[in-house]
Amino acid sequence: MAVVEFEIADLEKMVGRKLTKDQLKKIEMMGFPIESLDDKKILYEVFPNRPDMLCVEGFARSVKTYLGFSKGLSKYTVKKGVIKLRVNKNVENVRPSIVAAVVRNVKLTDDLLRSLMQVQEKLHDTLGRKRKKVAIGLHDMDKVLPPFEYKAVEPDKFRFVPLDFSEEMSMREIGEKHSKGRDYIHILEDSKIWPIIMDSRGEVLSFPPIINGELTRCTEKTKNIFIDITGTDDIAVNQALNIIVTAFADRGCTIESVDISGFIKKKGVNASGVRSTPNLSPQKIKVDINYVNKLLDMTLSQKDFSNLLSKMGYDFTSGHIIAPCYRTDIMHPIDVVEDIAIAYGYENFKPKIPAVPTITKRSEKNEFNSVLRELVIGAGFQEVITTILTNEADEFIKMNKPKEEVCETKNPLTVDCSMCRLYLLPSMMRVLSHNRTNEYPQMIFEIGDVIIIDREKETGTNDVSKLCTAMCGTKVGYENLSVVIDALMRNLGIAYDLKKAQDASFIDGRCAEIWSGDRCLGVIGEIHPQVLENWNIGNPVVVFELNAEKIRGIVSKPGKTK
Amino acid sequence: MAYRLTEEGEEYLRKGLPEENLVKILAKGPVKLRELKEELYKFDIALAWAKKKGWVTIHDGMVKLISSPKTSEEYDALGHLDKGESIVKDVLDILVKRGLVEEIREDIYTKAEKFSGKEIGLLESELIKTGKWREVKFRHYNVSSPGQRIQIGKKHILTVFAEKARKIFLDLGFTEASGPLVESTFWCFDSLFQPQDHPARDLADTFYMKNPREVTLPNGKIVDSVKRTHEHGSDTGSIGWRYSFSEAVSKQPILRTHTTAVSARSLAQIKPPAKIFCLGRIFRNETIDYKHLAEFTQVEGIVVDENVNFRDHLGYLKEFYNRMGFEKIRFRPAYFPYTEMSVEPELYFEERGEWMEMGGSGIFRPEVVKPLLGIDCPVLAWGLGLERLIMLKYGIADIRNFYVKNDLRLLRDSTIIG
Repeated sequence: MAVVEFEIADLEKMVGRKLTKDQLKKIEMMGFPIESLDDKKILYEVFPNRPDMLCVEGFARSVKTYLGFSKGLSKYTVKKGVIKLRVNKNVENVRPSIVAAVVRNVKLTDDLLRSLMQVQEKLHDTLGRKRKKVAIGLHDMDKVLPPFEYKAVEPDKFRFVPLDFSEEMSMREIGEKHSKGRDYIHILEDSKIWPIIMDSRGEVLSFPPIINGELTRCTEKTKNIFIDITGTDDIAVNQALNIIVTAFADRGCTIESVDISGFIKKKGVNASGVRSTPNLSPQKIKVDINYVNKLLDMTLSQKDFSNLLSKMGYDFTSGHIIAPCYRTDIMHPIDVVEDIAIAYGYENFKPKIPAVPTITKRSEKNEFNSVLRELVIGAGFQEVITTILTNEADEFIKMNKPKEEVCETKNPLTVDCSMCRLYLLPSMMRVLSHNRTNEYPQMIFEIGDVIIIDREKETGTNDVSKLCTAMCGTKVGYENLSVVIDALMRNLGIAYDLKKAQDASFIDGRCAEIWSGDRCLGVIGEIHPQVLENWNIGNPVVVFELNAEKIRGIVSKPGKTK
Repeated sequence: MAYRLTEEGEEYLRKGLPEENLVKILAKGPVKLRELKEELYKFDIALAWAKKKGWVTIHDGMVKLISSPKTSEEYDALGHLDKGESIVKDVLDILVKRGLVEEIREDIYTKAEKFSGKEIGLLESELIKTGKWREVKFRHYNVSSPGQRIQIGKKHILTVFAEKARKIFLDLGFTEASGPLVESTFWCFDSLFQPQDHPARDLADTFYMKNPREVTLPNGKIVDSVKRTHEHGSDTGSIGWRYSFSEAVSKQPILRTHTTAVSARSLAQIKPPAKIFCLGRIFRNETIDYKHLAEFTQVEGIVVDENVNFRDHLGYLKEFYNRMGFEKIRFRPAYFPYTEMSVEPELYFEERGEWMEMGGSGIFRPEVVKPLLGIDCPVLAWGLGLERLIMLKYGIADIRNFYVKNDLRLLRDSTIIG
């Protein structure tokens, strides 16, 4: 998710007319929520499927047709250029993909500069997966002499002056000392050789994905720009290039191709092993109008279809849809269907309930837990709901218990979330601890899942439903809850025994296990004062914890123990 | 309970306990058994108790004193009881056993009579049974004071809403499904056509598990189908994501980030028509603050049918929120890797005077449906937030009230009961 910022005046200039507040708001119905809006600036949220909307030029292009100021496909021509770029095979394992283009007749106004900086930053973060997948370099072409070369070199030997510095540094030094180096050098650290783009005189254009050379810095005097896009994904670098060059073209520049030869990873290679980029050919897609009408519950004619497509920047000719080169999200005809729905306006579809004949089926577990919940509420207890994620201190140490095997998380942002609970009891202690300033007696319960390790299961875990009840107050003791267990078991029709037990969380001699036949259903007892101290609770607590699944198992067998 | 002396008890009070009288006689020296029989009143009783208490022995027809009692507990007790004073339970039990004392079973009329002509507080049962309520006056209470506040058993606010949501889908003919909390990345992401390098999979958003380390993937056919769809679209009509799919990544266990994993699992098991829903806990690896928790509840649903369409999708969302008590709803285009059309429902909150988005929804992409269901079929899907809905409607500012604090004052005083 990215947020882009536009000067409203610049957006209006690119669209070609002034925009009212209503029109700016209407753009939200294209799928771009407004983050903030004032007299000068507007901020829109752009989803990952529309990187073309990360620059004001691309944004304006789509808005123009959507709001009806123009129609159909934006067409771009690429002049055949003479600049060549040779790729050395040794980039294969470090940063294999590269595409390039030249734009001429550039006027680097503040607006364009601002837009370029934003689109590079946003593309790097989103499509570029923080520069790993895609990194963009813009260079003042007049400072360097083609043909260019892309290869990998030894980082300690190779030296040049990086952007913002005045002294030559080795690539390794740049990785350590330059701010961009520190941020991104981890992308290259696995390789012994690092990528570099240089011209025929050995001058450095860039050290991707880290930093450009100071030599090719673009200024307001720059007229011709060489664009390099490197990365690990051939498709992504091409997509990024298309977005950038079309932005330049919309500002009045001409686009010229670059011939790339040598090592080329993937498609687009002609017979002599040379690829020409950018490739701004539109995509041809076949979409059956009946498919659209069925999915949207409409009766669009070919003409309606064409008009709606036109509104979204497509052309429609002889049964084929032509999609623009800067759209990266068209993977299946369904992507076009969504654009048609957007063009028609989501607000114009009338909601209805279809006739889908299915019969209700309830979850047995949830049904039983509802019954259990009602019984415990009937005994006067307040339901609480707590987190499944917990930590070793709460689950074991404070409870005076040794650590058991639990589900553990790898990289939790807070230590509070380092493992999944095995018992509900510590959660009850936590609630009582948080509620020290509230009225007593406190009678609480929870019916919730704990997660146990179970290697037999598909996920290696099993979710078990438990019931835990706690009572805390000045004159509270074992019998306060043993009578509740008795009432519960009686009402569930379960014959049970209370067998003396020992548990380090409980006071010795005041703890029992609840058994039904050969099944242990749970435990009841008075909490040990050491545990109370650990939780900072100043009143006695008595609790019981039952395995709700085992109880359900008994109850659901007909004719048992009534 | 009240006690009184029996006839025999009164006699002993007048004449002394027989065994104590025996002791008095023997104080002067041993006496022939034959002589005692003639002299002593209640001789058998006296001898029996004196022997029992270890005061006398009988040898060669002679009765001899061996120990003399220092106190006369039983005799004193008789005296106390006679005066209406209370005595120790142990002694009382002996006197009752000896037949010297009996319980007074007061007649209910006698009891009721005590209140006659008086002003009473509690209405005693005897007054009703004997009709003597006519003879008493009822003191007026301060009825405008309710008395001490009590707490009663209640559902948690979230449960109230969860049950409401549950009921709506059950009423609409849905099947209630469930799935594991610890999920595989296969079911949580891969089967939903989320590319393996998608930012949502980052450690920053998803909890990866240290234990367990690995899960078992479902049958090879489905995994293979999903793999091919990711790589080049397979037979779904899509071009796919065009990268190399890793099965090792699929096997990583995580805490599920959405209940959509349950929908994915369901698709692999059903045939249309089907309507399935699930309410479940989901997890996000976020820093916890007043707006964000690491876990919360999602309301998930899918409708699988050859003839459902976009209008039906909006229809179910509208119906759900209408039944949850919200009149004003609108729909906005959105983006999720697994849906197209994607829709974000928004509700108007009167209390806040603004529209707020409530969750994600859309029609599952063919790349999701075909590998799992086996056929191309529209699947309407949604995953909606529950806590957010409640917090916005009732102005609860801090989400930690729900799972972390469980502030009993908030829960007890809450009027959100149904």
